[in-house]
Amino acid sequence: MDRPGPREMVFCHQCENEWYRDEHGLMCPECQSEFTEIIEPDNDPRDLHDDENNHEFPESLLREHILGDLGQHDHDHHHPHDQHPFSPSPPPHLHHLHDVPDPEEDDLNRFTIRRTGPGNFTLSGTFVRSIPPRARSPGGSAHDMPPGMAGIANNFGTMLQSILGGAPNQQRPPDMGSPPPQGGAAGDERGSPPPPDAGGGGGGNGGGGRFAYTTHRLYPRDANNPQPQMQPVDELGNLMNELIEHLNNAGGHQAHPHPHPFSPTAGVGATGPGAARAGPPPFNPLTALLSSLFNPASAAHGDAVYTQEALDRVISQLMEQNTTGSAPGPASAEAMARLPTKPVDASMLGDNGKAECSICMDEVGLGEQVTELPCRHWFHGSCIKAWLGEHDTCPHCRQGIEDPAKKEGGGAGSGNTPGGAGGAGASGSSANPGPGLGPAGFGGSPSAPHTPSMPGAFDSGGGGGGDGGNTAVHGWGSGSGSGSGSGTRASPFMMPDSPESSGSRSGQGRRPSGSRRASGGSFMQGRSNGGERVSVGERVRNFWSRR
Amino acid sequence: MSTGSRKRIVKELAECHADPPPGTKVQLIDESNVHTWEILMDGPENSVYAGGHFKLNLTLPKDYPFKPPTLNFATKIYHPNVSNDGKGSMCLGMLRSDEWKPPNRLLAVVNMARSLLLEPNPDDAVEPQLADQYKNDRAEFDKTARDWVRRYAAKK
Repeated sequence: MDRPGPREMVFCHQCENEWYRDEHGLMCPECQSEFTEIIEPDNDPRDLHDDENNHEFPESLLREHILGDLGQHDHDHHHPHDQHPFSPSPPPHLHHLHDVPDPEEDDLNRFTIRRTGPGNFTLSGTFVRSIPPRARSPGGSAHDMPPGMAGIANNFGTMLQSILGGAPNQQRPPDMGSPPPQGGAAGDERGSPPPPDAGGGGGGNGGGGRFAYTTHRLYPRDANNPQPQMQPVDELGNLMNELIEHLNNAGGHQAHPHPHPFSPTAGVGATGPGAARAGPPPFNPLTALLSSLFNPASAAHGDAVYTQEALDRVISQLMEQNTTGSAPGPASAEAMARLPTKPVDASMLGDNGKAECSICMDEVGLGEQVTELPCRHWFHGSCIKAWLGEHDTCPHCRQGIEDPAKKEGGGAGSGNTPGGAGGAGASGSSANPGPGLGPAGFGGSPSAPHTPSMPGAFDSGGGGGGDGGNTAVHGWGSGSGSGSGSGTRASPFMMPDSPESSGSRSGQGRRPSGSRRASGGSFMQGRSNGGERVSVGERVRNFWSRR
Repeated sequence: MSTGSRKRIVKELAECHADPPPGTKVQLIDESNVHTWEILMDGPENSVYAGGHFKLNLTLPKDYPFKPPTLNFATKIYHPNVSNDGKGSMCLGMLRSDEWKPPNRLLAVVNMARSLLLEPNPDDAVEPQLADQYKNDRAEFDKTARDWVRRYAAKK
């Protein structure tokens, strides 16, 4: 422990003597005990001697020791007394061992805690069991099983568990029958870790193992001392996932090449740098449940959701499904180019003999060229193009400017004349179950008034030509005007170009400008315009407020 | 469109100056910025907001008139359609982004705000509790609304 700083005091647990380490070393000059410990500000062994109630293995002390080690980086020492966690805190029942070199400790060399980053540390160790279980005095052992591996395993398990603080107390009893296989190989940076079975020479029962334990932003809980480093620990969900995963690895799958000797605890959080996950986590219903519970991205099971996020996603999805294709996006350049321009004539002026472009509100004089939409509303060419660049609907009545049949039928009739529209409808109706009906009928009577909107149109946008044809046929039979501007897509049929009918149509289609909300409209009124990002909350509100 | 947009806004402002709704005054906060209007609105006489003087901010987006203006009550008001979150936003009807259309006029927006003082629209509320109260316990709603007027909107 070549630590810089003030002189180190060493404390003897046997005779409670204290001395400077650089004067007498680590062995007690009084009683020659090796049960000594370096006194550190945050780890004062003298305090522990007041507490004789520690009949179990003193996990809290181990934690302290680990904590102390966390602050430093020199872990390459091999003296058993200050490097492994068992020495600094001899429990009362081990006091009789003070003058007997503890073989267990010698076995447990190469135990390191390595700091791998702020808040992360890796605990790795190698133990070699060379003592036959019965060769050792079992008197002090609190465990009623052969010492050696079992003791170490148990102690490590307990220790790791206590490091984790709130980790569940479901320690798997160490499997004494088989030598503990090698755990995750990471975390041990020394070049020559003893092979797992190196201790075999000690006898028939010899065994050994190596393990690595890495936390990921995990801090030990210390109930004895105030803890300055109260950084947030890893998310419970992650911890639980890891825990279950490793439980699974070690417990349920014995065939797994690397079952972990201390699986219940050592597995927790073993995702830190340097930790080797032995393999893909096998399926476990519990794992799946937990991971999905804690994973906000998929916190849903069937019809149940667990987070607001998931709920929002479900609702969004529902709304998307209901409104697919009906949100007006920008109009295509071709569609804009197809819009006819015409000079303003007397019929387009208002009662006062004046007219204005309702977008820029500039007055428009007779003879001025304006662009007219299929719904007969007209605007300055530049004004309407600015709007159509975002929405392919009329700013006034929201009727679509494009003919879905034309768009999807491809190359159908070109102009806005009734004849052209009829052709478009015919081409679109190839997907229509009843092709002969509507389009032909419309084509045959181009001057008949029909509603520009589609009454009851629920999915008029996405359906394309066939759909539009269907709805239009329906509208034909059921009369016009009930849509009140809700049909935002163009009917597949163009308007007859007669002023009087267009006047009545636009009257129907236009919503009163002062009205807050048109009532009785179809669901499609509620959809947001394309290109405008609306928060889920807003969309939901809009959605429901329109039902 | 920016010059066209500005031209239209100035035109609309003139319209609002020329023919404002009763008890309403519309002005620019900063003469050089036509995109931020201030509306001073007296609570309509026959409403629970009578006696109150409300200040509203009308903000026009850059791409007005293609995007709707936003209307915020700077004066705290107890109203189902005004958010009680410090923003005082009033977002309903034509002000919604999916209902706005360029032909709408700001004068209509101002008128809408005033008519909502006269008659809140609990079916399109931003504050559901207030809407509930308005519908089911009108007396209590009126009482609180008047109380708020006294507390927050009394002085000019």
